[in-house]
Amino acid sequence: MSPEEFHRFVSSSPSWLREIGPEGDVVLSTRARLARNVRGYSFPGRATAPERRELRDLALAALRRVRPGIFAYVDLDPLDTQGRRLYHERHLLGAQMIQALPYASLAFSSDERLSAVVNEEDHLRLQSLLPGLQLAEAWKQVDRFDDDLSGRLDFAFDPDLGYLSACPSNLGTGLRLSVMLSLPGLENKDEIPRVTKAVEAIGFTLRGCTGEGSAAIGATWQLSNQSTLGEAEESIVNRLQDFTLDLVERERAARRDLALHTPLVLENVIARNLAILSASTLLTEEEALCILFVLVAGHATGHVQRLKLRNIRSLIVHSRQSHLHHITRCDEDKHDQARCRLVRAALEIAQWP
Amino acid sequence: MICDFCQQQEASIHIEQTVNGLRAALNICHPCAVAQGLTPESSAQFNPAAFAEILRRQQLSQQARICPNCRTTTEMVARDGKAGCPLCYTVHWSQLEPGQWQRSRDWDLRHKGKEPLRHGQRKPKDAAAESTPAAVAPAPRPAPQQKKSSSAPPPPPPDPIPEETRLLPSSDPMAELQTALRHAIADEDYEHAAAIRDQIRKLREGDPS
Repeated sequence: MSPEEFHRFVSSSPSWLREIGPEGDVVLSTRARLARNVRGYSFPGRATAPERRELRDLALAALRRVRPGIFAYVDLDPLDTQGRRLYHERHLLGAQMIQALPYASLAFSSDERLSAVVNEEDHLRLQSLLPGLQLAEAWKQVDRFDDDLSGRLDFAFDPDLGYLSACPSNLGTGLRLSVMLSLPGLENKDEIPRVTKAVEAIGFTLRGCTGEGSAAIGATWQLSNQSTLGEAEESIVNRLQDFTLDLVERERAARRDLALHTPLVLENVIARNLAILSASTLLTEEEALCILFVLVAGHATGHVQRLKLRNIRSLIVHSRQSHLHHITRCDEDKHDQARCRLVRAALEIAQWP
Repeated sequence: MICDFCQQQEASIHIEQTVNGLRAALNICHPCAVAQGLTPESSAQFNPAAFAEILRRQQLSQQARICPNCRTTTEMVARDGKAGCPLCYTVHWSQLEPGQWQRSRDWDLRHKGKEPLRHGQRKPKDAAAESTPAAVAPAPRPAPQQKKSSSAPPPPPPDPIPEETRLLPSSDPMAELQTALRHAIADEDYEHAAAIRDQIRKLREGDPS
């Protein structure tokens, strides 16, 4: 990427986040990820540097052949943590890749809906990211991508264990599907513990929106399949789709119920968050994310119609540490101040008093 | 050189043997050699049967614990919860108790779902004989007779997929089964590989160490 292209990339927001997809009032986005490894090569965590380099060259050559002219390629080696974090914030890299080993690369399409990471925990991680609830489509995208690559790379596969991966939790299909959900209704009605039990009973997990081991902020949750072995891809897709649709209906019912019986509850949450935003001079990353997710939920329930949803959603990426750094170019100790200004300016919220 | 057995004393006996072109070596101190029945205390005579037995035991224990491709041991896999390479699953899987790897309850399950497409794939050995591009399952070896129809379009040129260069030749002279297993896996002859895997399991069970 040229400096101008990079600037455009940083100051735009990914289309899967900006756009409103199917069931977009509850489901923010859908992700499908496949773990793949090449037979005869050690997994990246165990491979020597020359092995990783050889594998990277092999994988990049295959990616260039199967999707010619589609991907932008980013060599992660010369990037510092701030530079790598930028791609993590756009959901193109896992958190562990901020400290990646040498010879790791990222390839992503211009709309950032299709991407591949080389030499992460596995040789290849293929990913499709779409707005709203689109599990079948996301699976179709990575499935095709995988088929095309498997004609050029000899993927490690065992008839019993399926696709072989560095971590046994990815054995089998290597497919991890997840949906990002905004559940203010169920959260306000204290139904999340019940939902979590139901989720676990059928082999899925419900976590905070920013990934493993994190609490939910701003009523935003991530639902994903836990097991990858013993169930075919289409079956996982269908089960997760059905469960998510059911959850969407339950969330809508909870919102209707709140609006009917205790209309001030959600309004109160949103008013308080807007008040914090207008009264603050500093805003940490987590505070900003929390307020933004509350506003996303508030937009869906009709409480913050005067704010542009597109702007709120874009800020979910732009208020993050590395984006803020690249956009404002200010020192790290001024980030909280810059973040506060950025969010308020983008949402046209005047400072208190 | 330090004694292979006690790992303390200087080895005073060095034995090398070549079987089927593969070299095996043993370095041992005199007290250990006596203790192992390799040589009587008072003389320099040498018992070849004891030597063969020592080598067999050494190699069996090595086979059981070290992946021939990436040198990851079973202990490392149990400790880190991660495999070193795809071959590790063949080498270590049966070695580990359920619970030693994450999500071990899944091990009772068998994979359902897609398999890698092999179209466009050129295995180095079979590249010339391969003519059907869309075999979904790992196919048996192609039939010897080939279509020589002039009307059929020529197959696309083979892609420069490197051979299994990472599968290093085993340094263990008696690890024939492991070598055969790797070859079977490389050739995608999974039935044969499973049979060899069973043989290895039997050997391990029969091994007192």
